[in-house]
Amino acid sequence: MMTGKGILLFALALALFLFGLASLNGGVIALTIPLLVYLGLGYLQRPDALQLRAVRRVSVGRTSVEEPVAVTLTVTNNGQPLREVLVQDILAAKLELIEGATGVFTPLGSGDAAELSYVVRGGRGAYQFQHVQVTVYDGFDLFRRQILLPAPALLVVQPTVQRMRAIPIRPPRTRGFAGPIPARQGGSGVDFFAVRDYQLGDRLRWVNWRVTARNDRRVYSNVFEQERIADVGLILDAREGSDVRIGPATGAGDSLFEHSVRAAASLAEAFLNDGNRVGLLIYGSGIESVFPGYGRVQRERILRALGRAATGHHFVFEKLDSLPTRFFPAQSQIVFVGPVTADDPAMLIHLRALGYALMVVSPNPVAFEAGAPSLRLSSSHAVQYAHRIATAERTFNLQRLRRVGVQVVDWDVSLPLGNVIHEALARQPAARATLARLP
Amino acid sequence: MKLTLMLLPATFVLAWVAIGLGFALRNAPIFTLASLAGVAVWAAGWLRRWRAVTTTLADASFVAVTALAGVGILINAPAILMLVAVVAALIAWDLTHLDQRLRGDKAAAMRVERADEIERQHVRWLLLAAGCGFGVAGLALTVRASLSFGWMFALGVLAALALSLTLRYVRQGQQQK
Repeated sequence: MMTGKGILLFALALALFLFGLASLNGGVIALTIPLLVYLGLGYLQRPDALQLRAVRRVSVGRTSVEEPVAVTLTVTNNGQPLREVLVQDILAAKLELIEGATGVFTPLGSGDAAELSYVVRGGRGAYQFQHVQVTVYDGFDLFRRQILLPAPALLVVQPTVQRMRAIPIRPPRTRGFAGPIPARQGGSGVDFFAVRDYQLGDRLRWVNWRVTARNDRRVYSNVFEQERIADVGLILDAREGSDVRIGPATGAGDSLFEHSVRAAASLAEAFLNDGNRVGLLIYGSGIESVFPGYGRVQRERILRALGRAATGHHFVFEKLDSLPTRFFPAQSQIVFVGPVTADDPAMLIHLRALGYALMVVSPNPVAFEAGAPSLRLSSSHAVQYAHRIATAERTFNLQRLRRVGVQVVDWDVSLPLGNVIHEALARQPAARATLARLP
Repeated sequence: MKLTLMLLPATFVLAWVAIGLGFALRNAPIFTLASLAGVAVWAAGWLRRWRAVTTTLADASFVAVTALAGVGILINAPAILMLVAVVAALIAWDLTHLDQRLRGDKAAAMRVERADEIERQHVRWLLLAAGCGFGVAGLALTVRASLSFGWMFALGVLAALALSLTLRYVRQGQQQK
């Protein structure tokens, strides 16, 4: 197509020609000849069929927040020589260029290649590189051809993980392998569990002399509580309605969801480090799940899923009613991560009623929003009343959950999660076993 | 960029000087003053590196020189000077745009590779176009030939055809946008 420069030249030549015709002056018409020759030469050199190929290489497929990532883009010309080519890469809005150039203006001979190298970094998220924009000029910048070459690549920026001490959980059912979680079953272990009649083969040090002394002719042995691993299911609330954003929508803005994602990543790491089987379910505009698994590979799967997680809205998932309750093994530990909205307690109580051990890690949206500079500065009575009402409503909702045996961690996101969890769980230990079984 | 930096001011000044001289020879001082003002404005922009307006100034200057050259021909100013002015203005205008492209854009994180090669090739083709244009136009200004009605008609049809083809091409380009 013709560029602005080409259109100006054509218009000027046409105007001069018409002026010459109108004035019946051949000299004026002759003045258009240099312009037309220039235009004609440009037309003859206009870019026609292009045979270009683009290949993109990203130094790593996944990385952590603020870690630099090198991107190399190579555009090769397999066709006719091109005199002026502008290659421009299209960066995702949330990626920040820290080194190099995303555009290059160069000639490309037949078989030549133009290479673009740059370093970017960005916040958590999945960045899909799609196309590179190539503009080929005729040489006089009168005609140009612009195409989008496919050069796909995916970069996932994983959330930051905060190291935490082992989190004390006591799900009703554990798995068969040894681990750190009390299994509510007697056997070999460390903590005292119960006493039973002495059996042949019991070690002498297991005999409970006090109980034996109180009973004639019978000897009692201590039984210890078995420690095993457990199934842990993480549910991340990614509903748009439950997210709170402060500051600008992009750039320096902060989102409560980001804190939830970081919390989910840290919890997954802590549970996997203890040898548990951990699964993840992201509940937002749809349901994304990572099936339960063990070890470092599972950690990577979960972090990748959390890296891609984004808030979204869908009418079906507006409330927690569509939570797939059978995704996690029966009587396992479920950890719900998200701000608890007014409609949520009903479903969470239902989960508890189904026999799951439930822990709610709830980033506090009221404190989060109250910490925003715009509100911090505001001292109006309306804001203060609104804050008090919201706090009361939240306290009431969390209290409802605590009453049915849900462990609730009310997390002010300005404090470190690990400390808050341990402090909260120390105050409300998981209900002791009512289903204790002797071997 | 040496070629551009050398040719650009020279051709620009040449364009305005040719126009000014042509009008001065025809005793039209107002146009001569206008051309001096044109040189002054462009020189200020060039020397003070008004990059944002340099191409706009070049566009305006090119249009002004061409229009003044047309007027000059009408008032019987020396045609060869007018032609020199138009060709020089065309070169200056083109080189200004080339200079802008070769400077890259730091804000858009764009760099330029093999700038010397681009410049050399560009100037070569530009001088070829300007030389051919100047030669043919010079011939047209000096050679007088009487054409029969048939030739005139044929040339008219050819011009109309060329115009319609050009317009069609422009329209196609706009549809591709």
